[in-house]
Amino acid sequence: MFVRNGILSNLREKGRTALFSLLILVLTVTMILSLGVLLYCNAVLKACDEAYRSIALVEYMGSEYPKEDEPDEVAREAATELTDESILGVNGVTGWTRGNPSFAFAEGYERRYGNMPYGNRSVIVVGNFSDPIYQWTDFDENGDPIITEQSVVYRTALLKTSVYSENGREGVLIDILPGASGFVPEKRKNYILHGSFVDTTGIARDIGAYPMNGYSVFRIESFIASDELPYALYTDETGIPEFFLDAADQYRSMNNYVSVVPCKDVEDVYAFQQNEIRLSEGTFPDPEQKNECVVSADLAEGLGLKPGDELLLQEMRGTDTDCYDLSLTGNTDSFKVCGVTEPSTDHVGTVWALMNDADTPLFGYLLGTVSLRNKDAVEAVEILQDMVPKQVRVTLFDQGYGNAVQPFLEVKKSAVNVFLICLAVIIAVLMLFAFLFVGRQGETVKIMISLGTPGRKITLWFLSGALLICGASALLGTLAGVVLRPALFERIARMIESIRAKDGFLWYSETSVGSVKEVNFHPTVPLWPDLLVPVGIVVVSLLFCIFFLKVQRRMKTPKRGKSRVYVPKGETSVHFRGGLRYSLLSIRRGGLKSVIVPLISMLLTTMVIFLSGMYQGWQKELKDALENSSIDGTVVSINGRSYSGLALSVNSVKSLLHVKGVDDVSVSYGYHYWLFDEMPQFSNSENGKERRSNWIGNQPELVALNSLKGAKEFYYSDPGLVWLEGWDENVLNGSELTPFNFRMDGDMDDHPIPGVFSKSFLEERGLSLGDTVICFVRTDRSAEIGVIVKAVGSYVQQGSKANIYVPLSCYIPPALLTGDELSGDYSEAQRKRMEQTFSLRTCRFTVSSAGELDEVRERLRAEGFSAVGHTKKNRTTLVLKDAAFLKLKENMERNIAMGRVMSMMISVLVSLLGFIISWLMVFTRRREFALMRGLGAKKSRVFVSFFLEQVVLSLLGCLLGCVSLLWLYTGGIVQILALLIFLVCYLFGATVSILFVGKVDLMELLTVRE
Amino acid sequence: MSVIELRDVKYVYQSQYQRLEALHGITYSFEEGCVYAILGSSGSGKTTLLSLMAGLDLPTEGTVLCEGVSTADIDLEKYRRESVSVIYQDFRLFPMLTAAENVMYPMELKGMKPALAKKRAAELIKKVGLPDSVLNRFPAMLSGGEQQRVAIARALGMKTRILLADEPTGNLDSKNSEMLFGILKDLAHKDGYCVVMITHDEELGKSADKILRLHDGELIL
Repeated sequence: MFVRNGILSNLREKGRTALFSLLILVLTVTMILSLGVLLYCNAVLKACDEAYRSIALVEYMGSEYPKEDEPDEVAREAATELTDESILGVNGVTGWTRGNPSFAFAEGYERRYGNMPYGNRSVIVVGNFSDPIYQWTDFDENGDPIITEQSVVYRTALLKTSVYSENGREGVLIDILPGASGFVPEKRKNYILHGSFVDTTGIARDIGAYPMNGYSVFRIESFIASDELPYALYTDETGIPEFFLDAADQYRSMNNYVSVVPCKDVEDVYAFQQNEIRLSEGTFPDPEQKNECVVSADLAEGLGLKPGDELLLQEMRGTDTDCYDLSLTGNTDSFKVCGVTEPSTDHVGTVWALMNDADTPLFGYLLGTVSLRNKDAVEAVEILQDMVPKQVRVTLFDQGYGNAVQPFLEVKKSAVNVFLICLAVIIAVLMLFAFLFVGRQGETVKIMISLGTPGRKITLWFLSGALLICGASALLGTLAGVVLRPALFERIARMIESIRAKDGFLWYSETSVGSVKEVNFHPTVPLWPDLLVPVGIVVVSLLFCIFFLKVQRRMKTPKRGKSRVYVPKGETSVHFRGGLRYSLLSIRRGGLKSVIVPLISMLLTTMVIFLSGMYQGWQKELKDALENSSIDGTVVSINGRSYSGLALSVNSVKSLLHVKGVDDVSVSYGYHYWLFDEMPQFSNSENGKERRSNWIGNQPELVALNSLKGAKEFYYSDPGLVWLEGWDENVLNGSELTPFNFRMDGDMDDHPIPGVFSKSFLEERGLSLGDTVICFVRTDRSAEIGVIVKAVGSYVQQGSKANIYVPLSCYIPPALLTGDELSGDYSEAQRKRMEQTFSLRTCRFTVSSAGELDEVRERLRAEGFSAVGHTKKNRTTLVLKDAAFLKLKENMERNIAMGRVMSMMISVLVSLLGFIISWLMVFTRRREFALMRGLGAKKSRVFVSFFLEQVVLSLLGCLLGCVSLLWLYTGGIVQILALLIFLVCYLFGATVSILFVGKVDLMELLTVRE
Repeated sequence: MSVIELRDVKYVYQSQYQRLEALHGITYSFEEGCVYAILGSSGSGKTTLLSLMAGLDLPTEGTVLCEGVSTADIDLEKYRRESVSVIYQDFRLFPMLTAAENVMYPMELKGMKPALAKKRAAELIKKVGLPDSVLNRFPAMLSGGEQQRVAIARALGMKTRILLADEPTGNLDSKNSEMLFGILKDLAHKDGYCVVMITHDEELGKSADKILRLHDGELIL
């Protein structure tokens, strides 16, 4: 009976029941869908997390970057500053492998191609020498050759035995150059020689030798770090001296070295992570295991290895200055082969082995590889970048994880917000429901108590009705949500795929550097969490009902003389007249009502203002970011790994300069320089010349540039410039200097070139700003000239080389780049030739307005510039350093989008609440209304009385809201609109309610019991 | 002299499910200076009749004439404001207005200035036998009898010739009932009001000048 009556009494409240059923149904559907989307996004994110791998390369941006075998001391110092503990302590870092190279010798392996450090070094037995043949390049006036000491003598001879040479060829005729060895063979004798085959396309051509059988010129060279003569007489009796055999063995092991890449997880090695190379057989080793490895295809083929086999490696170690000057350490290690790679010319003779970091000196610039947790990768890289020493760059390679999950994160965030808003709303609705269906049933409770109804049965009465309405609506909503869910998932997947297809590859962005993986966006989403929604709704509604029922029962149960009645203090007022007077009196004496309405209004408007303020703040921040941010761009090598040592054509720079939105194009070109008294003595032999040339190649550079921004040294650090009084960076962009290439050999210019020197260079030589230095440079025409450079500025040296920065016009007339008229008498043909002759080593530029970034990308595409991995007509490859900006922009846009949705939802919700509150505020005072009308008050007066009261109360709330948020309130149109919408809705609710009450029959109204 | 006249007044409560004829053609004429008591059992149509006389609604059929003019032809708001005053069993005072302000309310409706209305309200409160201390009290601070007297003072403030009372003593004890009835009687006999009172109380009814009985919507004289 109680259940039936409880249900019936609720059902008979047709309008109210329908309203709440509908509300609960709609909110349940929304919650189920948002929860479903949340679960769907989580499933996709999980799938992404499993599919993608994120790593970061920690590299030192040294002067010879990205050479892999450079013994750069500064890079080594930087590496020592990176401690394992600090790197592994960063949240998101799961592994850290140092980049120190490791080498080994594998018995039976012969390297057929790839990097062979001593490829030309050979130990050979030759005989059948010819008479000496002179080489000359100069002729006298009679046309006869001028034979001098520098004329090179060579003999032809038969290569009889190859003790060691790269291809082991024998029985061929070769030219023998004695070099500085002093070798003079006796006729009909055989000799054992140590030396190297000379590249016949290089030096040999210059000296008049011509290639024969590819192995035509052999230069005798001294043993490295040995006093032994590089030649010896050979007879069967004497045999080959031991030091020749040792040398041959060493070259064999050096050239057939196996490169061992120590790693903690082979899949996290850059080459595999970036899909440069893939497995063709077997699997990756389990990172938990030790001494397992993956081998390159050529190694597997050479040694006949297949997955499951054992590979025995003998450790080899180079010297501190030459990583390939290898010798066996005597240590051996055995590895189980798990996988074999596809054939690749880039990865020859390589073993990727699970082992500890190599205990060898660092060569090259890769300090190490960090393995990262996908979702924390970006933050971890930012922390690492702040941690590492200057000039060290930490580059994230996430296989496109960030871009793939971004839309899902946004959808997930929206889903969470929608779910939370629905949760808040449904709690409010359920509270209101419980209040109206139970809390306002005081009379019923009173009657039941007076009739002696047991508390349990009173509870049963009310809860049965509530359970029916909430349960049925929630269940129906759940069913509808579950039915609609798959279609929604499909729609989201399609939407995201279309966004991805639309965005595609983000041209020139550093975020698009690296390989990208694809993931299935249709995972299975569990259904069971959806059941929690209706259960939760029913439980919460019942809890609220029980609460209000307890309150009612407590209120209606006699207190045995303890009841208290609150009566406010009165005072007859004669202020104001008519409706205004009544409304003001009603406000003054309204008690809780007069507090509640402004309070709720204040809270709601505060929420709206806060949200809209935040939304507006984000918009402003984004606008500022778009207007005031600039993006740096760099010309890089085609694979994106190198940004210096380029051969950038003048026409490419001209094209770049003419792209609208691209500013501050900074270019540079470097000549190695040396100070006269600092060059060691070199012999005049070929070997001496080569060593001299190599020495010059290792000297710092005199870098001609138009802005210090173009110096690779300052890409990752602040130059810390100090200028001589009266000088500044503009000097670099001057145009009145004569380019080195146009100067006469040995020209000592009386007018010094202004230069920016390394502070330590000046200090070491006792120089100061204003002093001059004579530097020698070798021009592109192979002429060596001396130039006077005046120190007009100094910088804090970052690398190991003390470069000197001089105006770009020392190398190239700047007008050639800008397309302006050249000063001097140059024909168009000369200009064209100059444009084709000159090239630049580095190039940086700025997109001054980040807001135009997308347009600039399009313009660069239109100009045909290439991006990493996307080669176009113009092979000049660009990378824009836009990751930080894009991240900021994405965050802002996400916040703005979220803020927009939230503001709209909150505005609608707040407006709806305003409407409902004002409706209830009037509707619950119908009797008062009827009394006025019964006393003959005009409808207009009654309207004014009630309406003004609501106006004052809601305005008061809004004002309080504004005051409470004065610090945030910017007076923007959005806030004013939001407030107006709330006010209008609130007052609309009051108006509708007053008009509605006014329509109800007076006789009926007068019988209403409040 | 007839102040209010009922001519064949019928009233029907029409709902979706049923049609209930509350009054079946009542004809009667009420005169000034006289106290009428309408007696009847519950559901006999007493309150409906009073509501029609109070101008809260119009009869379904028939006419309610006030000084010869049908309520159907006049502005009911004005009628309620200027021609008729009602006292209810549950007093129906504005909870957030003091006793004086409740009394002042109809005066102000007629355009009286607040200060003058306050003075007049004090006089009326005094007239119904309440002390000045009641003036600034809210209804919640008054006893049932005091509230009912404030309601009468409010009715008097309207300066109408017709005073309708719906069970005015229903919530009062016998002492207060007698006092209230005395006031009503004085108003009729001394000030010439036409007082129409609905009551269950036979004894009180007998004290009236004329007794009318309603039975199932029909008037029994």
